[in-house]
Formats: sequence, C-alpha cells, structure tokens
Amino acid sequence: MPKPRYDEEENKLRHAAADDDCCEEMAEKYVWQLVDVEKTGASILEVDCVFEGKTEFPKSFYDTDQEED
Amino acid sequence: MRKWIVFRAEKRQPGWKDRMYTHTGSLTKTLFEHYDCSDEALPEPGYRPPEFIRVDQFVDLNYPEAKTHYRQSDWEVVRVEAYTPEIPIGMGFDMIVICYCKHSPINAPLKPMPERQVSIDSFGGDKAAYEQWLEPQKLPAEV
Repeated sequence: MPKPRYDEEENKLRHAAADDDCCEEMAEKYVWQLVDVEKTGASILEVDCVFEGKTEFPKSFYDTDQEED
Repeated sequence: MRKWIVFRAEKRQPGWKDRMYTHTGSLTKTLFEHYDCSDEALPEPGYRPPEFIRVDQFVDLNYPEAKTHYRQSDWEVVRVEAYTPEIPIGMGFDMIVICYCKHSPINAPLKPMPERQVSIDSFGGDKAAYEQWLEPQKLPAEV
C-alpha cells in the first residue's frame, strides 16, 4: 500500500525567519510543505516556519564560503 | 505545485463558539492551513493535521512565544475537494484543496519540536541582515 502523502509519524523541521513571507519563499524555493507559521516572541527572527517531513535546509553558497574561511 | 490546503470543520462539530479569527473575532470553520509546494499526493481521509503546542516548562527564553511540542490533532480528514484554475497562468496558487474534518479526539502523545535552524533564507536572502545576526552568535559565552 503506498504511503499517504502526510505521514503522521514523520518528523517536522523548524526554521526561524524574519517574517511569514520568508516561510512561503522557503517552501517555494525548496519545494517543501509548510504546515505552520508561528510567532516566536524574538525581536529579529520573529517567526518559526514548520515544514513537514524529511526536509533539510540546503547550505547556501554563502554558508559554504564561511566554513571554508 | 503551489497548493493552499485548508482544513475545515464539517457541520455541527463541537467547539464552534471558540473557533474564531483573533484579529477580527469572527467565527470560522477553518482549523488549519498548509502551503504545500511539494509534488507529494494530497491528504487523504484518515489523515490528522498536526497541532503545535507551547509547554511552559520547555520554553526557550530567547523565543518565549514559540511552540515547544507537536502532535497529531483531534481532527480527522473525512473528505477532500481540489480545485484548479481554468487558466493556470499568473496565479498565486496552482491548486486549492479543502479537507473537511470531523472532531475525533485521540489524545496523541506530544513530540518535542526539532532544533531551530537559521540560514540566509531566514532573512529572505538578505546577506547583510544574516551577517548582522551571526555576529553575536560568534562571541564566546560569558562564564
């Protein structure tokens, strides 16, 4: 039997963001499933974006450069 | 494919007086919404959308309002409708999906939220803002 689209046992992933639009942009950019957007109470990263499943935040070229320094 | 998935209470489900938009006070049947840009299949009857919960004793003081746990909700999908635009050009969504739900309590176990990740995408690609955020993170912790 094929696995249902939303596997309820599957993990979530959480990414902080400056605003809710960043969450939608991440979903579009990485082809993810955005299942919740929450306020954090922090002053800079004001929202949490919660994605379904085995998503992994790809390292940007910028991050890779930083590690190589 | 950009899908707006709305989870909506069926008629005459309990708790209707408390389901309201906080910014207007208007009652609503909307329970949850997802923005799904994946190519995965749609939700099916039997699926329970997750709910997110804040447990005071686990709150991170740097993110005092953030949720700390999640679990399967007490709402179960019973029927799914999908709508696509007639002319799918320049539209905000490629599909609107309505998942009708019934209240079916299960008291699912809580799971801790995963660690919070941060990258340049957290700042909408704004490299300067990301660098500014990184600076204090590099400082050694005071003893």
